[in-house]
Amino acid sequence: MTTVAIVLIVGLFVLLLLGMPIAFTLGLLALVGMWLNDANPLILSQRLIAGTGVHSLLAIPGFVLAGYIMSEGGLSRRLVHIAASMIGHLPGGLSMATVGAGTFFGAISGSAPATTAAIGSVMTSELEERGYERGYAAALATAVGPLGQMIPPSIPMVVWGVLAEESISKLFLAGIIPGLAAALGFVVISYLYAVIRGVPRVGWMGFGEIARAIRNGIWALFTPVVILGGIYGGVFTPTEASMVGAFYSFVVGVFIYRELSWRKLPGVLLQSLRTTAIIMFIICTAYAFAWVVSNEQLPSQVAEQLLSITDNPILILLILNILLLLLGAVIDTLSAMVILSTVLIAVGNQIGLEPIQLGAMVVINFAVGMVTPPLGYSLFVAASITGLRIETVARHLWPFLLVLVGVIGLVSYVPWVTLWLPSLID
Amino acid sequence: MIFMPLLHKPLDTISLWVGRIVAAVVCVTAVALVATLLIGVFFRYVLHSSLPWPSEISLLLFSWTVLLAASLGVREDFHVRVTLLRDLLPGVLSDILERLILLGVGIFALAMLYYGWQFAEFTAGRTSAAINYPLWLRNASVPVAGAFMLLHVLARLTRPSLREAGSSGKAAL
Amino acid sequence: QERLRIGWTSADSDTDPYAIAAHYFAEELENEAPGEFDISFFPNNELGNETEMLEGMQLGTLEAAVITGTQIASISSAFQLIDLPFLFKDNEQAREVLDGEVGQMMLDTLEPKGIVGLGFVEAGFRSTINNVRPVHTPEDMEGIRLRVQPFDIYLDSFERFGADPIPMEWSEVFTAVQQGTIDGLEIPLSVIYANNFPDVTQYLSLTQHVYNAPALLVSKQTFDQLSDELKQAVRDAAETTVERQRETVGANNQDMVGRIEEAGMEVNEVEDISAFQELVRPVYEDYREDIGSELMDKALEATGQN
Ligand code: NA
Ligand code: NA
Repeated sequence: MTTVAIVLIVGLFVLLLLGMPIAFTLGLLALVGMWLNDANPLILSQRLIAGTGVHSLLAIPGFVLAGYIMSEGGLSRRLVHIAASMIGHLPGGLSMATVGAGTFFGAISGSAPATTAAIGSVMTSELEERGYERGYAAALATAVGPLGQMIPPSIPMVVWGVLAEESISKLFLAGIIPGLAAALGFVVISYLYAVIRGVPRVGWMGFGEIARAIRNGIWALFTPVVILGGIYGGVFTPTEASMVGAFYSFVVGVFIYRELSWRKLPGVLLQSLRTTAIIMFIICTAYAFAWVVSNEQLPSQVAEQLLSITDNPILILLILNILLLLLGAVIDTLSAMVILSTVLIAVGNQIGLEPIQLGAMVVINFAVGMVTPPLGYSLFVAASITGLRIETVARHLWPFLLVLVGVIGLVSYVPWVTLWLPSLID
Repeated sequence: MIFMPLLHKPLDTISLWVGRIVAAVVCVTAVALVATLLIGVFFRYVLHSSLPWPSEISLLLFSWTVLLAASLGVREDFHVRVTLLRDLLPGVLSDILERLILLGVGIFALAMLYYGWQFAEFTAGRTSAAINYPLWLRNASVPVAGAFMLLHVLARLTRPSLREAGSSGKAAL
Repeated sequence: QERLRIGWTSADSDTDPYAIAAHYFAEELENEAPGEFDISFFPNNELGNETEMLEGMQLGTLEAAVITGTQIASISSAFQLIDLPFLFKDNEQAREVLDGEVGQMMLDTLEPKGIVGLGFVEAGFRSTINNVRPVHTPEDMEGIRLRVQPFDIYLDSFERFGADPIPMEWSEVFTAVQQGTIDGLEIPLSVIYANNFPDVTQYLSLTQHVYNAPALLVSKQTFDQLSDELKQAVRDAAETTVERQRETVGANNQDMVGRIEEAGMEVNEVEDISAFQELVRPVYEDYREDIGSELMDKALEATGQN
């Protein structure tokens, strides 16, 4: 290994552990790599700009904005009520309703933290009142984040599509079945939790209540139709869909539900821009970091190493998954994708994995990284909403993680799960 | 070290106002960004007469929105990081750690300012491919954001303590 | 040993015209100057897209690259010449003109920008595919939502032909055609096949409007460091590379139309391009100053359009 490679890897872990923001960690290491390599550092500026130069990535601000507006405009609350009116009376019903609302909200929001924030802020106190532990409620809200990333639209899918030059619309479809499988797993957890903990049940409210909830929430229910229908109906690209989605929820929130006042709007906008800046600045600096990594030809070396261990595709997939899970836990999801895409694509090609399946696998692995300590955005959001310590939330997370790992296995070893839906639009 | 508190007051005031102005500017560029893409869809899908400019203009707005908003993150300390060590260490040590980290952020900000400026100059004569706007207009976003980041770093470094709550600076709005 | 990183944007495959050029160049360099160069390949945008690689060569962070002429126009507007629609009649004419005085004049404009242009390889003519109707005349293009390369000269030209030109990012194009967000695009034959467009597009009209000529480029910083013998070796290697690459790509493209037809597309020739040429003439004049009047006159003369 070259000196630069060692500096990059050691530096990454040391700086992150010291508490350097991840974006600046990547940026500084890129800079150091350029200095050590005697490469003209003007290229640093070029790489930062390159991160914001990809049209498809415009979907990131779009989907983030759509998520926050849905949340502030009262759309997400209505979704939760619809779900609660339908299944709230079952054992673990309110928790199941949270999963259902999260799944549905996931069909609108592309961002995991936005999904966690939207569902978590509506549901956690209500769950606690009905006898669920606060830590469980927070863990549940955390776990719906990655769920939202599997159900389209999804920001990591957009980023992977850009990096691997795969169809974003197809990647979106590939996430649906794994997403529903995870949701089903979470429903089972809800049931078991309620039974074991003896959570008191709520009475059935009747069909009238369901009808009322749906009537109230019909405009919110219509949002995924606008976004996904627009993409698959040939009206607009995923990027444009994100913006149309934001605009639609703005219209509903301001003019129909009247919960989003014009005064609140700059605040919502700025909050979305903070989230966008966090994500995008990491991607920008990751572009710089990835340039140094490529320049060192590390990707081909790593891919070779990986493939020299064994030529059994099942084992390679296993190793790949373990590596992705570990990396997803400690470094940021999207930057990991930017940095590792070349390696992953090379290995995937070598073992004959369909690019769409590989994409779904990578995205879901990294989506899990969103909820794992020490670095997990959804975890941070859930902790800050509930005022709990990250450790407390993390303690309640393991059943959800187990389900997610199961889904990763499913995606890795059963191609049908990811490839069937995309094959329908061919 | 005695001059630090003296510098702190004016630097913090400038940092606050730059933060407020930048926050207002990114709100405007973000709305313009959404509007640009929506107009693009409208002309293509409804009017069947596509516009050449939305795709390049939206990316120009994107660069500025992202990098300027990222500069706010230095003031408000919202860039994602692991605070495990800071929370574990006793007061004085964690204060020193925070200052070291800010120093690192400052070095990168300086690199953005310095190399970004040179890169913008290097691309000065060139224009974009489709609508021919001057490319330095986009590339200048790096040094400008770098300069603002540097300012916020300095304002925070001159604070008497970085350990107390609110040391990360008030949100701009 | 001289480090020589060669970059290009497409895949590292046996049939990709850019990859073929890069690999032949490496082979020929090894032939001309055994052991003198430490060559490594950077396909798939690994070190940036085409404009970024051009900047990289100017800044000295990249030694060599195979870059589409269209993109080189971002640093030297003379290269817009080859994007003037219907300039070249066929491959033979294009090769001849680009190997001659006109090509040399274009390559020479790069030297003051810090890049040495070694020659033009071939990616083939661009044609038009869409889902509305076969294109025989400009009238057939009326109102077709057509993705064109996101460059002013393409936008202006297709506007003249009557199409609705859309400068969409490449990564979004396939799905956009599939979902009907756009009706079609203009594209080289080999790319139609390699990217499965026959699965989602009905008509291929051989408009052959632009000849795609990627150039083989070396950073001037790198080139100037070489001894005279090595400089000559690089030039000789480039010359052989150009010959071999065109032969291979030509052979690959030979039965391309047949393969596309087999894949289910309805293919038509465009018998009379004069109506297109007529319409696009004002665009030639609009870009004359940018391209350079002398260069343009020489090109028009060499292609018999005077
Ligand atoms: Na989603
Ligand atoms: Na994590």
